Amino acid sequence: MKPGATGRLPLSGVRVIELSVAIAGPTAGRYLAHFGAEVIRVESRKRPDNNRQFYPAGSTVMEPDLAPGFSEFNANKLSLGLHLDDPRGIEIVRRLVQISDVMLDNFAARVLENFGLDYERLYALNPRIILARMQGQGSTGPRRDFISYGEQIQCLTAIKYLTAYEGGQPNGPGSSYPDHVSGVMAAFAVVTALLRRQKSGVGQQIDLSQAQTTAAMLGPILMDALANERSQTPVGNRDPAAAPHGVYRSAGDDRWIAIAVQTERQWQALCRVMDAPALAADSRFAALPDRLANQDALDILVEAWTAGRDPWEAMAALTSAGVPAGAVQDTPDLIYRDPHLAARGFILAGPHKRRGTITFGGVGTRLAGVKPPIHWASALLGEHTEYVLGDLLHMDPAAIADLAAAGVLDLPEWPEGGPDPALAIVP
Amino acid sequence: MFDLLGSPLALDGYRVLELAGDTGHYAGKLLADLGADVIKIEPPGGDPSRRTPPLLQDRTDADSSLSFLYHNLNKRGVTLNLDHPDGRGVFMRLASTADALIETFPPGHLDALEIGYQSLQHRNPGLTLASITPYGQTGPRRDLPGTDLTATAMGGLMAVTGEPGRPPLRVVGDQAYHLAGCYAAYGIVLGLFERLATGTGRHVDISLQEAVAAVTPESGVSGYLFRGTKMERSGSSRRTIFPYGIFRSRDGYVSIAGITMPFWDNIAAWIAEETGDPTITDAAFRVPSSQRAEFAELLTALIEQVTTRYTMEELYQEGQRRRFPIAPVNTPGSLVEDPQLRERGFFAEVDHPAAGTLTYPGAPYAFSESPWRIRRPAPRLGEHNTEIYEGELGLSRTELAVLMASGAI
Repeated sequence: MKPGATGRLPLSGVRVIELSVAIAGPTAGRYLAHFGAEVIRVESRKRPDNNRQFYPAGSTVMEPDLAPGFSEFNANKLSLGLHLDDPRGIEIVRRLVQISDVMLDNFAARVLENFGLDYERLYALNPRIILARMQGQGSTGPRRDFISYGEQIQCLTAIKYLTAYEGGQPNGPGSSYPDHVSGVMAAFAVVTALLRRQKSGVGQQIDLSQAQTTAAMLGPILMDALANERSQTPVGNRDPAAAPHGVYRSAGDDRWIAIAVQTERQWQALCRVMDAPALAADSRFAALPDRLANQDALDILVEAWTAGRDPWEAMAALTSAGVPAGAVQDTPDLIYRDPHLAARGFILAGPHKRRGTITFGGVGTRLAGVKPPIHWASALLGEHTEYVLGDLLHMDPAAIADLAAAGVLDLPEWPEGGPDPALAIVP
Repeated sequence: MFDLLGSPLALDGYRVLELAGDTGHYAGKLLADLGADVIKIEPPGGDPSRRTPPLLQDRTDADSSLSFLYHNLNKRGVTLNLDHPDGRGVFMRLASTADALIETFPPGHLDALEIGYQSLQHRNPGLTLASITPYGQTGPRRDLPGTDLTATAMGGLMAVTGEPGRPPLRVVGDQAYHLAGCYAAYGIVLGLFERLATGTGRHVDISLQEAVAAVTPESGVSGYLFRGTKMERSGSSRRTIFPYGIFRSRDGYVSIAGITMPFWDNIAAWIAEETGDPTITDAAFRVPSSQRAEFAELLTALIEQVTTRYTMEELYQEGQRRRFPIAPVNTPGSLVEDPQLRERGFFAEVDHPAAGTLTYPGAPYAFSESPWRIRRPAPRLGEHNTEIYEGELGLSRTELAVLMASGAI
């Protein structure tokens, strides 16, 4: 069983070893796998990934192969069940390094060094290897070993403090934002290093810090603190260069619409759509500075119009008049109520050995005319152990069986009689 | 580990044209900072992003937008009028020297000017084009207007951000635009890498909505389909698990996340030790974090008895020493003092002829062999017109003068 068997993709022929946990590292591997790389995720039944630990419905028993959210970050990857606390496990990683292009490392900073897999030693094995380290706060510095998951990075980088209502408590994005950003940025850095290797003939180490990656996404706000000594405070949904600019109540239960008026033309169009000529002529709202100064009054008037309207219908009326507007969509809306995402095939689905089919979220990078195949939504833990050791490392079956018996390997627990259709995750 | 002075940069030798302002300039920055020759093409009057706040000391000149200075670091800049036929002629000559192009016009705009992907591919088959628009190049909503705010709404992130009962919240700092920049930059290097094997480029189709949808909640699409219940907005602290959220300190907030049992044990031992009250170590609370959530009020009071005695920094050090996830809720002002960022050299000084010497946020990553490096400040309007049009495209001084007089440049 070989991934990417049909059709060339940009990263076809690139082999990646992924040592990772949770979201950031797996997302990096996922973006590389999506575009054709052969990504070998090293896993262990002793310490399953965080996203394998969520219980299946109605169960209080951890079943790593059935955890529902794992496929969001692991499509098309091979799963190698390997215990790194055993020197024989480390030796297998060293052999893989010799036949691979990239290693992703998203463990705590000290771990790779403790395994004897630091860059100097990888370089000695294969000077073409690219090692992408992606710790929460980087692999050097006094706080490199601090526990730094997405929530902590959000706090450190002020995105938790600033994403909040005006005068309100720190809130932060409702996702583990730094992990997602760091994932795609690590994939970007890896391909950049592959381009460089084409000229230099050698790989290199990339030391990505999730905190730095996230802070760089807030550049102008930090520039304001550095250059103007102005430490910004939360402004909710408002914007210094647009008004009205907010999220307004719509008809329905917890339904809302976002409206962003950036130009005078859009303001006039908004008044026309609202059928409010008096508003267009109101001197309190004549130009942007007026509207910024009178936002509270303005927001009440806008919400009086949106409150009785379906958010998608209001969005259609506003956008067809040239006013930027968007319904606040939740996850079920993305799946069931977005004909645009459906037409673009954003949401993905693929086979799974125990669940049959799993439907999962898409990626942010699209190449026109390319629809990368989903060979599997995610692998069973250890599903590809025999493939990696036998086909890639040419170990004979007896040697593999010995290692398995010695507890160095994890082999998959195959379902009897194939996948259970009742376990499928489909809309 | 290595002496990097004079090392070649990762994207040395690649040329990227950027027809973009606020929605696309982060993509160009990511490439420029790693060595690509990124040429920002502005209309003769300057791109509107030269006015994007925050401004340096509230100045209003064309080099005072801190956003512009930050996002255009390491780029060169020319002016060009694409609405002028001669301007388009110059553009096509420039495009035939480029490896990639970033653009943010409405779908079909460049095609209507006959400088779209087909024309560019015909002239330069190796070119990769990255288009960034609210909804992408295809689909029924492709022509609709949109902004960072509306993309955050349509992409699903806003629905889970904010407090229950209150309006969903925007994520600060134009994150839809920055995310689109990351995904576009990734698409561009994929196109460049694939070209090594195929000789041809790609059209990278980035949708702001999809850029946001790709970072929506961890439970994700499969998690929702599996459970049938959606994630709700929960404000500053998760309500379904405990502890996962903010606690008051003497000088601000810290966030504590102790959802595994070892982390909870470390937290409980610390609180008991500090207060001399062992209540928190009771077996009733030594349960999965979802069951512990029903005691959130009582446990928060116990924890805040301790956290309110100390500063954020003291709590951060002590909590990390005791091995549980804790972090200070930094403001921008405290973030720029962060010792770890400073130790790793995250902040860098850049000298700009009009804006002066300012400290900039720097690199997400360190490359050991081909470094992230500051080579030049953001370009002034038309700064490299002569250097590029005369020196590199081979236009004569007279031709350039004629193009400028006609408004083409």
